Amino acid sequence: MLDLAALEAENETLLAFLYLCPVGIVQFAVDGTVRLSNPYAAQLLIPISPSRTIANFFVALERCAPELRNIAKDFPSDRGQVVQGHRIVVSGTGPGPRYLACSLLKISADCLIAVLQDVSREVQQEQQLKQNEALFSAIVTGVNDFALFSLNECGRIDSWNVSAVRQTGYPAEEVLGHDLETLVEARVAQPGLIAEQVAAAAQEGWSLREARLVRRDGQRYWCQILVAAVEGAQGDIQGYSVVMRDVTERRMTTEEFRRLVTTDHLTGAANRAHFFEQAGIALDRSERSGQPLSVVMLDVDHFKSVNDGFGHAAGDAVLQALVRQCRACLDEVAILARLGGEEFAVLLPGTDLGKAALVAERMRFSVATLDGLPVNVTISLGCAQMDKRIDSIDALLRQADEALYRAKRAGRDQVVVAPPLPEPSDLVVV
Amino acid sequence: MLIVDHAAAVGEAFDMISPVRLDVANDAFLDALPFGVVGLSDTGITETYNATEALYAGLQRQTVIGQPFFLMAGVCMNNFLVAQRFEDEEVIDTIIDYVLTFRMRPTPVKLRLLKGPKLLRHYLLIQR
Repeated sequence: MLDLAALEAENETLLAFLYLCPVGIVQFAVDGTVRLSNPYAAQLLIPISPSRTIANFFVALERCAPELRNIAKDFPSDRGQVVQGHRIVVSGTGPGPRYLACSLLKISADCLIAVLQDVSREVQQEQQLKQNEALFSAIVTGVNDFALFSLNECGRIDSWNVSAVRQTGYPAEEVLGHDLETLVEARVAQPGLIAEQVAAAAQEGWSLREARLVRRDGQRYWCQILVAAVEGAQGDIQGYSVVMRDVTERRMTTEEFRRLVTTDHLTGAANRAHFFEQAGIALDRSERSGQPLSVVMLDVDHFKSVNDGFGHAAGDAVLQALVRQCRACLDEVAILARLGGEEFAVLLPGTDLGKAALVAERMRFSVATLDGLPVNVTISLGCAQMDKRIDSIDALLRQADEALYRAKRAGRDQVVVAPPLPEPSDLVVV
Repeated sequence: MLIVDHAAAVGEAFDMISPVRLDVANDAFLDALPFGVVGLSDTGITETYNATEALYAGLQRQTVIGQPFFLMAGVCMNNFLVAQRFEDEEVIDTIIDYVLTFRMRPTPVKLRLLKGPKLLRHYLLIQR
């Protein structure tokens, strides 16, 4: 029989085991009320929780993974794995981990256990691996769908051959002396994309991108483009070798998967993960090309009272309508993302602060004048533009968020830019 | 010689007590304080762990003393809100709201973070 001292010692051993457990473990009720949590879970959750508490699991993750509440609610049975290794992007919430993985296990009708892990390093390795794999497959896979040709030191096509004719349909006389932009589909072209790729190859030795090209007969196709610099003896660039691989087929089969992993399932807006990935790419491009980059943060005014007064279904309908309205105000390169709850961000590559404010005003007007919802809503918006004083996307979002906060303070249903433009009267309703 | 004892500890308030006082206090004084006291070396090793804190956490003093605090008993504070501040800031005397997981029960607490160039240790005071 165990005596009290032995029980105490065993209790302490168990406590120490849980205190030191290198993954976060939380037990909570279906409404999210936390019953038990080990310290590592608190270490991960408290910094990202909007209220800096962990009384409720879903509330703590509301900003970063609002989908978990619905996923758990929709789980049909009393027992079983609800999600496994669900990625949560926590970038933008402060220093510390950038990615968490969350597994949810339902153990009874009113009890769930979550396991949380910091997977920032794994995600980074994965991204590296993905790039290496793309490079590898570009080099070794069947040579039939390849076009191989070269550019001169100014980036103009200086050799063209049968493989290139087969893939693009263009005869040599129509492309020699032109740059690669000739092959890019005009409608969705991001101006300068190819020129930047050549510049990146000049700087780093090689560069790999995926782009949508168009054949001479008008047929569009997805292409992996590898540009490698050809250096002379003094390290000067004498030209470039280009390998273009038609990846349309692979792209089609992965398109649905891509949609699933990049969009928010309620509203169809981009999700947080996709936003930060694209923002990183846009930031690199902007730094390289000197093109402006702006973001708009927006948030539904009094959203809590919509949910409380009209129910969550009405709240969901409002968010869906908001995304539809805002999308209609944006061009194809803009990315509208749901960052969490009722909080959205729009990434505007190639857009300066003045234009961003106009786009924001258009979105504000479009939502404010929307009919046919169970309740009329307005949005507040904050705009910010990348400049040298801002060192990261997180910092840029913070600027926009501060402007958004000022818009809220000033009475909501309005656009505020950071830093303030000298002439607020420049803002006109479009 | 400075004598500090059980009687002197009564009436010392969580938000008022001087860190210098903690530096010179003996175990009896620290154990009589009605709030948790953790004292850390420059490198984050636990040097002080009073009875109130041991009771809250369910860990014995001898288990914790000599161990890196934020990697062991204080894992839930090993982030930029608490542990990082001790590394980044030279002088701290601040009180923050936090949630600790004593015996795995999330418990709202007030934390007082104390650090200064003349202090022997950094202190973390915990009030439930």
